[in-house]
Amino acid sequence: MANAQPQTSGIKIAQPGWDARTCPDYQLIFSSSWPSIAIAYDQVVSGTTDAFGTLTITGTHNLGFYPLTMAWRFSDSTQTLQQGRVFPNIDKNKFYIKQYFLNANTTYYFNVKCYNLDISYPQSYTYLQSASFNTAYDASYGIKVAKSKKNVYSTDLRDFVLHSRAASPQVLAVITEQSLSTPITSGNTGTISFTNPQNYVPWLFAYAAFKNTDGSTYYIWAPPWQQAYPAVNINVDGKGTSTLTILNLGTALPYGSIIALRDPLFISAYKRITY
Amino acid sequence: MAASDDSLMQVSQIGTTVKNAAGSQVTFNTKYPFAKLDKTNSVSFQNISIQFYTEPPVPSGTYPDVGPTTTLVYQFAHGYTYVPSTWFLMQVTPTSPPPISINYQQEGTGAYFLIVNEATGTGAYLTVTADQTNVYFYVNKIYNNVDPLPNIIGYVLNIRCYVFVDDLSGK
Repeated sequence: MANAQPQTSGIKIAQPGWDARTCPDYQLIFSSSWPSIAIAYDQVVSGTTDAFGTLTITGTHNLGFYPLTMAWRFSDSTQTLQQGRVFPNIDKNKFYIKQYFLNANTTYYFNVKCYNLDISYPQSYTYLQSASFNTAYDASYGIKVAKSKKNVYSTDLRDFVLHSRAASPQVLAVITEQSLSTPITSGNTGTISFTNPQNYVPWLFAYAAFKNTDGSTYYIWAPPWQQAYPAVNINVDGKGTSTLTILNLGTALPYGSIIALRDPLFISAYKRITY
Repeated sequence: MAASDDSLMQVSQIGTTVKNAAGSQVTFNTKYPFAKLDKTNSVSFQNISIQFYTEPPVPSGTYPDVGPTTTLVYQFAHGYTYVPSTWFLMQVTPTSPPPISINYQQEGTGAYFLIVNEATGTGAYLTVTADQTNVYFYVNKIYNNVDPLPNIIGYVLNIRCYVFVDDLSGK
């Protein structure tokens, strides 16, 4: 399994007063060794339901690997209200959205983002501790890289590839079938697992692979509903071991992945609401 | 520094040459903007705990009033002038009865299950939407006058929220 740290070369920017070579990660503004997730494909796509309300959209990302992919559904063509996230099926160069609606012959719009994270490539990173308190942002210090044709003095963070006022979720691990000591033989199942770091609940995503009619491989998102296949069995308290069972049967291929992401290295706000 | 396609900067994982790195082996590439949470926007990354002391409305269960009834239970201004991308991770207590029987969920099918009868579809669901101003949390109830009432009084929803700087325009 690839393990990308410690990284001895790259970019590190420390907070004022700290030595980037020796300070803990939570005193860094940015480190290129952090497995921060980046957006490699970002498009709005649309499709029209058939007479039964079935929507099928095939899009092309052309990244050449199986990217972690998410899509947000808009309520209508104005694209002014998003109604939540779905997980398209993924292959090396395409994605597939399949949804069922009550409305036939209706056009639906989605924003699709493919992250620069190959779900078929095993990785593992150390769980880095966050700071115990947030440090105030200093606009006169840090790093920023503007997108092509955008002004580096823009105050709109969307104009930047990287900006020290912003932080990203990071990868904890990608666990694949390669973690199994023996390959899953035809007709059999195997189980891959991920154990959360101490007292931390990560973002968990899971996928299992299937064979397309053209022989290519694609991955399907595994929900946590026990009766589904694929399904990810998330530990009930969120802090133990989660498992994904992989089949080698029919079009189901003996490949699967559990992807664990973590929060960025700053402290969240907290709000308590009573209804 | 301004990035452009012909002034590319790339950093690869250790053990991988920059020239040959691809996919996850690339830790920084000026072609790929990071997913960004604004550290100066207090609602960009927050944990929200919603406790139900009042029961959201339920349909009568007499056809055609079987739902879903949709009740706004919380909203907050996200601070942007566009529709942002969002992630939510919800912990519900008490744990939903089988077949859900987990207490951590992310949306992947448009809703989070609070209590559900899988066979009939009756139950209570949480949905979250966002427009150009706010993020909205709704409880939706479906009831058929046969299954137990989908009551959630006493439930606590702990929701980890990301509201990204990144919009959904695809540009």
